[in-house]
Amino acid sequence: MTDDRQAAMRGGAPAPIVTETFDAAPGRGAMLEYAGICKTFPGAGRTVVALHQVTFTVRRGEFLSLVGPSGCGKTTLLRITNGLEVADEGTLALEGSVLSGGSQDMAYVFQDINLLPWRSVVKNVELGLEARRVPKAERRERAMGVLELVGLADVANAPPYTLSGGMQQRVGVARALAVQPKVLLMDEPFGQLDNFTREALQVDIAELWEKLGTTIVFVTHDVDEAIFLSDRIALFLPDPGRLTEIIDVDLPRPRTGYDVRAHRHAIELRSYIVDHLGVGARRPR
Amino acid sequence: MSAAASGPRRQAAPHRRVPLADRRITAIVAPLAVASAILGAWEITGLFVNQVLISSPQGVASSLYDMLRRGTINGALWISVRELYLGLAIGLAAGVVLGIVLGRYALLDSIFSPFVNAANATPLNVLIPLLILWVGISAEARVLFVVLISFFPVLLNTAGGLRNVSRGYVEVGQVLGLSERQLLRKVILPGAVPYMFAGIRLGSALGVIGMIVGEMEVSNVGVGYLLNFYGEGFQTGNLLGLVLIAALIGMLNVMVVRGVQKRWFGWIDVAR
Repeated sequence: MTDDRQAAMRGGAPAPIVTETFDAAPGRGAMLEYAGICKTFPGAGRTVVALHQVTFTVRRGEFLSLVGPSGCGKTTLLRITNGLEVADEGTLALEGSVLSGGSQDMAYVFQDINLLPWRSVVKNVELGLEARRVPKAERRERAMGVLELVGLADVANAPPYTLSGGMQQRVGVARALAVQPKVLLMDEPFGQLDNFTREALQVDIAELWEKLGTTIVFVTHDVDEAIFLSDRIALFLPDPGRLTEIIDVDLPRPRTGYDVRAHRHAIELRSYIVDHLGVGARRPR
Repeated sequence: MSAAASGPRRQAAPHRRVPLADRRITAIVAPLAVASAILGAWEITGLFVNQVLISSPQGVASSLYDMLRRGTINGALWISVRELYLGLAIGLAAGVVLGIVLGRYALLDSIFSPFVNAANATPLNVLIPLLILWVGISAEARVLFVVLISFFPVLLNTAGGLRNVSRGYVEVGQVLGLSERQLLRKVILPGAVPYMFAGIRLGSALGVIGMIVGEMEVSNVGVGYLLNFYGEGFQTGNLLGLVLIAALIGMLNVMVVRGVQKRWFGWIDVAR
């Protein structure tokens, strides 16, 4: 990390950073393996290196957050993961098999929830099941099941735009969970919500994760959110967008917001991350 | 989201908030007030100007009453309306269907859009002599003209609508694994419906213009022909009475389209 920072200060391109792929704990093999992912967006004025040589592994069943300032490529990485963008270089493997263009085993939760306004809440949740040709009756049953899980079964037939922002994002989560994904990709899902709603949804998503055991890759720029939710946090820096470090969050579960914030380890983590991202992100001119 | 976005804005200017009932009354009273002001000014001006030039609200009203009572315009009206709605049915449907095709296939769009834009920018009455050559001075020519004039706004709006469906909606469909066909049917087409309605509203009003112009140029029947007839006979009251009827038909069309949208596609007004 320090070398890299010095390299950045000298203005040269930093050497590719190879974060070791972790040896899997027993029974927790690799779910997603990123190897040498590169992505460049050619622009009119300047070319943006969104991702430079990103290599790491997401373990089966873990909650991993990607954290970093704007422009560090974390959202781009998530979009590459589900085939919304194509990497210029590098490979991505899900459970050992190399992917090209997403997979039906992953689901995506957007920051802009984009529930389809011409469909009722439950029909929105059914959309992914329609893609998988699930028969109608089973579709409805499964959709109602996940709506119950997120506590919204009673508004199943309402139009989505009558729901509050927090409720809409619960539907967004339900829509993703309905397809029973192995990996849930969440792109700043609570970024547009007010503080109270966001904290409530953080607790809910933590509970859901513990209940379902789904692997979650979670993009956020909210450090506290990342610490509260994650097993591990991957730190990203911009210009070029790169992974600098993955740190463990050794906090007991289940967590509550209050416990976590007061925990000594959490405080240390927080200042470490803020220092790392805040100072390191500043680019020498 | 939309509720959250509009809520604070409304609260930011509490002095401008009008209770719902008041707003409804305003929506009726204000246009009536404007209309009576115009009619009043017209009536007064009529006192000083030759009646042949502008007639008067009273003159128009009594002409209209006479025409309707004696049934002199019933036949013309029936012909006009029949041709109008036949033409609209064809023009609007063709506009939606071909709009979907052009909006869907970028290649076809790039081939045809120069011609579509050229045709759309052409004052279509220049084609009337051609239409007469093709199908003669006939109902077909007039229907065809209504088709032509109502077709382009629907075509352009529908094609543009398909291409402008919110990227977010499309990505939702993509990450959920919808096939191309499912994406079209379940996301892109419904997402383009608001644009289609905008085109249909335009087209259904323009169709009335097509009806009148077509009849003025191509016939000895219908409201357009009577307009010519009364104009040449200096019967300004009758003339303006017919203009009023044409305007009402156009208004009715737009109201029906709005009604359909509100009844079956209510999300369009609320969801954005």
